[in-house]
Amino acid sequence: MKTVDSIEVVVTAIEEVTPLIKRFTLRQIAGGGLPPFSGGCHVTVVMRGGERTFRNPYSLLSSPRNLDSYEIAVRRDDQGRGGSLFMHESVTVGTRLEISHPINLFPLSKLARKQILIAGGVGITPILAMIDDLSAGPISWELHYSMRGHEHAFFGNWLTGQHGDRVRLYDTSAGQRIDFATLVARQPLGTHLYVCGPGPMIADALASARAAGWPESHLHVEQFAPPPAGEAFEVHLATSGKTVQVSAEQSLLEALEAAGIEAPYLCRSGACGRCELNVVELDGELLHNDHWLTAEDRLSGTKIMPCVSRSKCRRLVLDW
Amino acid sequence: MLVTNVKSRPQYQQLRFDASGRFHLFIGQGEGGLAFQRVRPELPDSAEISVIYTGESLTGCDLSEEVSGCGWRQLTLLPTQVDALQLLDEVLAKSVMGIRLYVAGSEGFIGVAEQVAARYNLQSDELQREHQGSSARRVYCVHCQTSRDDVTTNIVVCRGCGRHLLVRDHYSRRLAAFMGVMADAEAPGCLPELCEVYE
Ligand code: FES
Repeated sequence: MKTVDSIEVVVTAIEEVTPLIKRFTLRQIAGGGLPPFSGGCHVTVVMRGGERTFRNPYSLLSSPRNLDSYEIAVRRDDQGRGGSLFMHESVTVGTRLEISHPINLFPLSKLARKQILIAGGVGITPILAMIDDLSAGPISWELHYSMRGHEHAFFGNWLTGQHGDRVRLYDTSAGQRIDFATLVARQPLGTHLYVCGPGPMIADALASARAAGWPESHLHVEQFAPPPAGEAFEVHLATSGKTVQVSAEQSLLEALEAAGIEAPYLCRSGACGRCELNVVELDGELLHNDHWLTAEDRLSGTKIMPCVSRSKCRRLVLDW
Repeated sequence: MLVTNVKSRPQYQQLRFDASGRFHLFIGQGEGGLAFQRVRPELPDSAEISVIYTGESLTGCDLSEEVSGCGWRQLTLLPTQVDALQLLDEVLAKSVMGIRLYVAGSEGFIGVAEQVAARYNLQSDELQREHQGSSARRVYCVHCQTSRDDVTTNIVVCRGCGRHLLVRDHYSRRLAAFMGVMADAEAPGCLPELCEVYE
């Protein structure tokens, strides 16, 4: 099944930029320019690997001014669910893939007076395209980028070469850490903070900013975390009368998709709210892993974000 | 009707202390002092607070003494609204992230204070507004771009071009004013009856 608005692309180059990260260049098979995007956008890549289909979101890291091709970077995760391994092992130059249209859930504020970008590891990818946007404009910006060891410094070195001391690199293998408390302490009004990286780094950055009185409207986060595994359960769809089995390794959304149901989604990481479904009945408890539902929503037990959340039960009935 | 349900008119609230901020700046004018008196007891002693107030108002309601009497560590009293707004601009230019701005007073005063705040990209979660006192409108003449902020009637003479302006219910956030359009453009000299509508 192909979704209506997907784009068929072919891999035209693969480059190993660090021991763990590969960069893929994608061109449209139909030829012509790809849809325009802005820094911070991601696409969902559909990977049909054997019996399982993965749909993983990856940020576009190439310049938004170049629409001949898109570039994404994938970090190999040997413990992961298989999407990144598929990209690293099964995809070669010439492989055809399906991607969604670019969506921006991590846009730069246009009214900001100063932009502070913070990245950890492969979290640099959306920020590369954002910097491309920023370097063409008048707003002042700086990047704080933390990575582990020299062999992981490919993007860091490239950025330093391009932008000099707007870029600060932190090598965690040498014990260097971003001092968030100092960083957020004396920033001019209208400063916005953007963080993309591992969970604990995001948590540290946000905690420091909030402690310094930063309001939520100036804090921007992007995190693509795979949906947590759990126990298998059964979902029944009240409207269509279908019944679907969700395996321990699958997310609820993936199980629906595998059954041929086109459930809505955008971020696939519990942040955007697009995939929200209503719970009609349940003989157990909901395990919420999203950042979207409010505390009241959770208490009510009537809503679930199927991209990351699941249920510990035998049977879940959804209003769908 | 002119005054019913103005959808574009901003929504005001009562000022409440926002503990998520680190620095708190209060600025008020005229009856806005009432809001400061009311909110003062809920402000923690440890909070870093400064206050700018001017007694200048259309209604002649100068609460300088009452506001001073509340006991602020940092209070600046100024003779005019222009002075107060000028100081606001200077303070914001030197401020750092973590500030919360609280504005209280007439609609015109709040509107201009918001324009100053917008230059520093203060967003709705950093800014509270409480309307106190006259609901006189600040009116912007769409013909000559002059504004006046003491308008209590449905028809007003523009100080810039002398036209008779009909005060429309359309509020522009960008201009912080209601739109005034020539009232007798169709039939010169033929004006609707003048009435006090926004005391
Ligand atoms: S797709 Fe965005 S929250 Fe589920």
